[in-house]
Order: sequence, then C-alpha cells, then structure tokens
Amino acid sequence: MLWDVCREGACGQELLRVMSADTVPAPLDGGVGPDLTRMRATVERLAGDDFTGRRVGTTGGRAAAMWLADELRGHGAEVHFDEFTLEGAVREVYATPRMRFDDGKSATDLVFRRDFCEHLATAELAHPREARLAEADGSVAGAWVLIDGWSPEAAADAHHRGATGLLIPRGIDSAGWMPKMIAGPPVVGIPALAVRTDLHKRMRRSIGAGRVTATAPVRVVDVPGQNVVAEFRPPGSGVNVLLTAHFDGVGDDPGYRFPAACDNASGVAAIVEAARLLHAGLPPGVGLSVALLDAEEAGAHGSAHHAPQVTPGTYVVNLDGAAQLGSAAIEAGGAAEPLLTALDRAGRKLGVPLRAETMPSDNRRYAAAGLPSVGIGMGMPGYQTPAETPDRVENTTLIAAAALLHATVIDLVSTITLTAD
Amino acid sequence: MSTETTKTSGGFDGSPLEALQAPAAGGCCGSAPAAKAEQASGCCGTAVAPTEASGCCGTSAEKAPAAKSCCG
Repeated sequence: MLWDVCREGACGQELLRVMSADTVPAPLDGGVGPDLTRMRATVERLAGDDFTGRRVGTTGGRAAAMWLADELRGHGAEVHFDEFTLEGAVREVYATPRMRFDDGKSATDLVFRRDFCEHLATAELAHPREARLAEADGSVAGAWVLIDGWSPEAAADAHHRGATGLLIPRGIDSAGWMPKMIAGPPVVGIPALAVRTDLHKRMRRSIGAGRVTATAPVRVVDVPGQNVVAEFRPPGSGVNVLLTAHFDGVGDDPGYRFPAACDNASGVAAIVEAARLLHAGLPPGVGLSVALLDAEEAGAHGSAHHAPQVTPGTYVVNLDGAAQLGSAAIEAGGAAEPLLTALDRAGRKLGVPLRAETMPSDNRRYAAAGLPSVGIGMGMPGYQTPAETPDRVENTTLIAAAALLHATVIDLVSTITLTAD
Repeated sequence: MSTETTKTSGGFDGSPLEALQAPAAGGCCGSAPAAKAEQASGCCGTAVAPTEASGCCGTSAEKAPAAKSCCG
C-alpha cells in the first residue's frame, strides 16, 4: 500500500517515517514494492562463510558470482559472465603477519589489524626479521626505520641504505580496526608495515633499546575476474537502463572474516530487487540490464572492462553501499542531467535526502566511457573490517535504496518517453 | 571526510546538477575525477600513487571511511 502511494508521488515523508519506525515494513501490496525479506536474504548469503569475503579471483568470489547468476536467472534475466584478467593489481595476505615489539624492558606480541597491518607497498617478508629501531635520518642499515609518512622516495632511500624495513604510523576506526584494502601504490624493495599511531610513538621513544621482529607475508597476485551481466530486457531504440553494483569484497584474511555485508552486499541486494520490480513494470521498448561487478576493490577493473561494451546512450546507475542512510551521496558523470532530474524527483517523492558528493566507484568507469551515469552511496558502517556484518545493514536503508532506484528509473523512462512523444 | 547534512525533506537541497561538478579537493589523491576514471591503475584507478598524507588506499585508517571515495 505504502509503495503504491509513493509511486504516485503523494507520500512525501511517509516512506521515511514508516521506515524509521522500529517495526520492519512487510512486503508491500502483494510483492509490488521492495521485498525486504528477499534483500536481507541476499545480504546474508553474500556475507556467508563459504564466499570468504568475495575477493576477486578467489574460490569464494567465483562461487558468489555463480550464485548471483542463478538468482538473476530466477528473476527472468538472460545471464552471461564477462571475464577478464587482473595482473599486478591485487595484494594478498597469505598468512597472518607477525610483529613483536621489545622496548628493552619487555616484549609484546602485537595484534594484526588492531596494532599493525601490512602497508600495501610492502615487499614480501615471509620469515621473521629482527632488528633494532632507527630514525630515517640516522643510521638505518640493518634497522626497522620509523617514518612519519609514506613516500616511494623515502622507501627507495631506506632500501638503498640497507634498512631492514619501514614502520609507518596509522590510525584505527571507531571500533579499533585497521580497514583492509587490496590495491595500492607500487610495491617497493623492502618490507613496510603500518603501526598504530600510539605504538609508533612508543617505538620511537624506545630507539636505542627497542627492537622489532616482524613478518610481511604479502604478495602480488594475478587473478581472473568475472562480472555477472544480466539482461532483463534487450536494448531498444528507446530508453536503455543499466543498474550496477560491485559484488566483490577485499576477502578474508587468514584468521579473520571480512563479510563485506555493507560494501557491497547491501548494494547488490537493492540493485537486484529494483531490477526485479522494474522488469515487471516497465513499458515495452525499454532496455533493462544489471551488471554485478567484480574487482571494484582492486581498482574498479570489472567496470573498466564492462563499460566499453555497453550500448551508447545507456543510462547507468551504480549503487555502492546501502547500509546506513543519512543522506545519499550522489556523483554524476557524462550527460546525466535527465538522470539527475529523475533522481531528484524520486528522492522528493520518497523523502530520501540526496547530496552532491564524491562517489568514486564503478560509476566513474561508465562515465569515462561516455555514458550518462550516477553513483549512489548510502552508507557502509564497519567499512572493510571484520565488523562489516549483516546486522550492520539497516532494513530502512535497503528499502529506501531499492525504492529510490525503482522510482528514478520509472521517472526517467516516463519523462523521456513523454518528451519523445 | 565528508560532512553529512541532516535534511528534513527528500531530493537535493540545491540543484541536482551540482552532482555533475568536480568533487572537492581531497576526493581521490587530489586528482580530478576524469583523471581518476581514465587511468587504469594506482590509487582509485589512477596512476597517482596514494600517499599516507592523502589518506588514500588504506594508508590512513582514520580517513579510510572517507577514502572509500578514494580507492574504490
């Protein structure tokens, strides 16, 4: 009922008011509106143990792609895999890095991703290396060198002078985690590890007596990737729409799960649900496809591979994060004015606040390919940490995201069709 | 880090076309959006190496949530 009212543009704040209530709205009007149960099931499934955090090129990532393909086929789409290869883009932690800090009085084993983590530019160090601590402007040969900020020049200099490795300060998030990423600057010639800022200061104070023993079991891997591309309605001479969301994550660490429920199982769930609704309700002649993208976390390589294949003029809507809505961040590229206007009207109808904000995700690849595109971000609490679990994905945000996508496409199609007539 | 504005109504506060404008400095490695999208590697899909100072690509955890808008 609520959905029908909103679709007619009369609900204003009603959707958000109801969504903000403690009770979860039931599927609306015989399944006409966004189906929360279905979206939650998608989030839970993608965050499951057997998908191992869905990093590109892993068994779990490939299994997630297969599962998504089956889901999309179940909704009536023709599905194919858009395959590609990534060379030198992914950093893989293949064992838990170790670090022991001895300040000269006592030794402490530090906790990976709490006290320290890999720096993405690190050289591989499989076996523990013990060394004294030193400042960069001191005698660095045979020492772990404490530097205040990363630069490839500083790394090259330390390497040239025979340093054992680099220790760089890093903060933590509100839950005490160091978020994981898998793509970064070019690898340097010596090990590099990030150390929690306060520990880094303690290490600096211990120079002269302090020693560090550490490993950096990190390597660069070449991996295959595969986008899941689903055609619900073939491209026609009228309006063509492509909905996208990346399904990959940064992948589990040895000993740590990274469920990636918010970034971006939530976005995938909302995109698939919106497509299901649109497939049932769009007028003839409108093209509708979905691309669930791989390797976003490695540098948006899946969308870079897919974008050139898309029919020119297709309107692209990318969703990255649908887990915690304050207001939706919107970034547009290409000739996206009609899309932005439709998005604004949909937001007003549904009471979903929007703000112009950087949203550098897969949408940028489509914009770079000359396609009118918008990227939408609706929050990702616990970002790329083990705390990014399904319970962090808000029901209200899932519903708002699916509803916003649906209403935007309906408005866009209606407006362009009316203009053409 | 972005500053989120609490709104009481839906849609954009201003013109929707503001979303077409270049992101403010501090987006990804300080580069322009076109540069970010067109390059194939490095930070945020750029050839610009991320630095600790920019908070990009996981080098500064305090900025990492915002750096989502940085490193993909």
